[in-house]
Amino acid sequence: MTVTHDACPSCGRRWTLPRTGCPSCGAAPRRSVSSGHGSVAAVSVVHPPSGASYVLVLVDLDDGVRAMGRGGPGLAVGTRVRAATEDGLLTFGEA
Amino acid sequence: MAITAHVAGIAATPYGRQPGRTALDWQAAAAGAALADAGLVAPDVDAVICGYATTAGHLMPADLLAERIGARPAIAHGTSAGGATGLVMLAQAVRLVRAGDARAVLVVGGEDRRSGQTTETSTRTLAQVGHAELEVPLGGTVPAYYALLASAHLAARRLSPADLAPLAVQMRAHAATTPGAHLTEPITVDDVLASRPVAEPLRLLDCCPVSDGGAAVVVTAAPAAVAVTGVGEAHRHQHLTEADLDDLGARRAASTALDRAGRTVDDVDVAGVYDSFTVTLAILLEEIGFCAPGTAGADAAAGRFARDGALPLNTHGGLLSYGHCGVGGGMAHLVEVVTQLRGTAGARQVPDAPRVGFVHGDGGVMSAHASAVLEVV
Repeated sequence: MTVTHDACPSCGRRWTLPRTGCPSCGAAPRRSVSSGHGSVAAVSVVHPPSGASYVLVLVDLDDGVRAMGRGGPGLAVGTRVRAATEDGLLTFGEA
Repeated sequence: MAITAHVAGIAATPYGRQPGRTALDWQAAAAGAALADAGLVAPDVDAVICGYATTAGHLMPADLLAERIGARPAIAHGTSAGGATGLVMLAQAVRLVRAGDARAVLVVGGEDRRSGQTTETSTRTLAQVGHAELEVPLGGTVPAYYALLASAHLAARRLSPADLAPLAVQMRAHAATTPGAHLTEPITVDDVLASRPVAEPLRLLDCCPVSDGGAAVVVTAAPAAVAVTGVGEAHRHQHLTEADLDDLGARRAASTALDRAGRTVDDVDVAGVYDSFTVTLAILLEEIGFCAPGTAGADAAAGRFARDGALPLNTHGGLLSYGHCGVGGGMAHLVEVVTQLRGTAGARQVPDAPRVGFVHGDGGVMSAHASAVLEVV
């Protein structure tokens, strides 16, 4: 699974989730593919009322944008990670 | 001459697990009590604004409520801004009154959120504040989004979960003497840390309960004991992935409201700040400027938010202990602050006759922010 983000061709601002206009200058963005490398910005082990627990992370990608994904084992804030696909979900594991 | 908006009527029902009433029943009960408090009847109202109810999903909640209570307003509409809805509706009511377009606005929230659906349905519905393709399918839920905020917050300030727990302890202590509170049994920091993990670092006692109940206020041009001297909003993102954690919008909304009132945070005598989770309250208090970065929990532990503290906060017990019935949840803070400013809070009255109140609501994942300044006239 590739990690994508938007980049503004006019002012250079980048962000993750698809938008139809740049929040700084209003220009139409272009979709770009990220390297998928970054550092963990936040991590949570989620315990649903039923079913197995799982890890969610926010990752600050080296491209300057943030992404949410599942997390592999042993992650803490600051851990270097890279993106992969596990069970069809974007998952960040220790780099 | 400029028109000043006043809060002439307030009401909050008891919150808790109270099966047998629909969302509309709770809204009508709260509306009737707020109108009676204002000395008005429903036909006196010329605008009705009503918050969404997840259990009802009605297309036009304000018209539905207006008919039920016997109001035939010139202006009526529903509002959806998550947990900020109550104060967004207050802000809109104030604007209508200031503009001269309405003289008595009824603002209502109420829902059978606890009893009207299963916990699984509630969790799934609320999770939709996350991104439908890039967050929710990962297992995103509201507690999980706030847990990620908590993880980042604690790491940036070199704190541990024990540093948030005193906020839950203080809210519970407030609720112990509030009639109608959902949770009243005293708790300690150790109790919070020993409670079941929900989405780490958040545990069960870091999270508000889900309740049934309703709240309402009447905003008028006619004079009343408490005026709304400033309102403000900010809407910087919808999804956590797009949030600027250093500028979530709380400071912007609060500054707009305080500037309009000619006040600063130092002028506030009593406050009601949204507290869906302990970390919600910590982040909002610190971003708005009531607390220095990383100190909200320590301030709670030191008694700063007690009734006789320097900043009496959520003196009814907040969402964390008075309870959370959806839109009404954040409105109970407003009802409580007005009650304190009126000096009618009884056993839980803040001493020394508070004159300046502040309320703040947060919707989504720190997505929608609304603030108001209330003052004794």
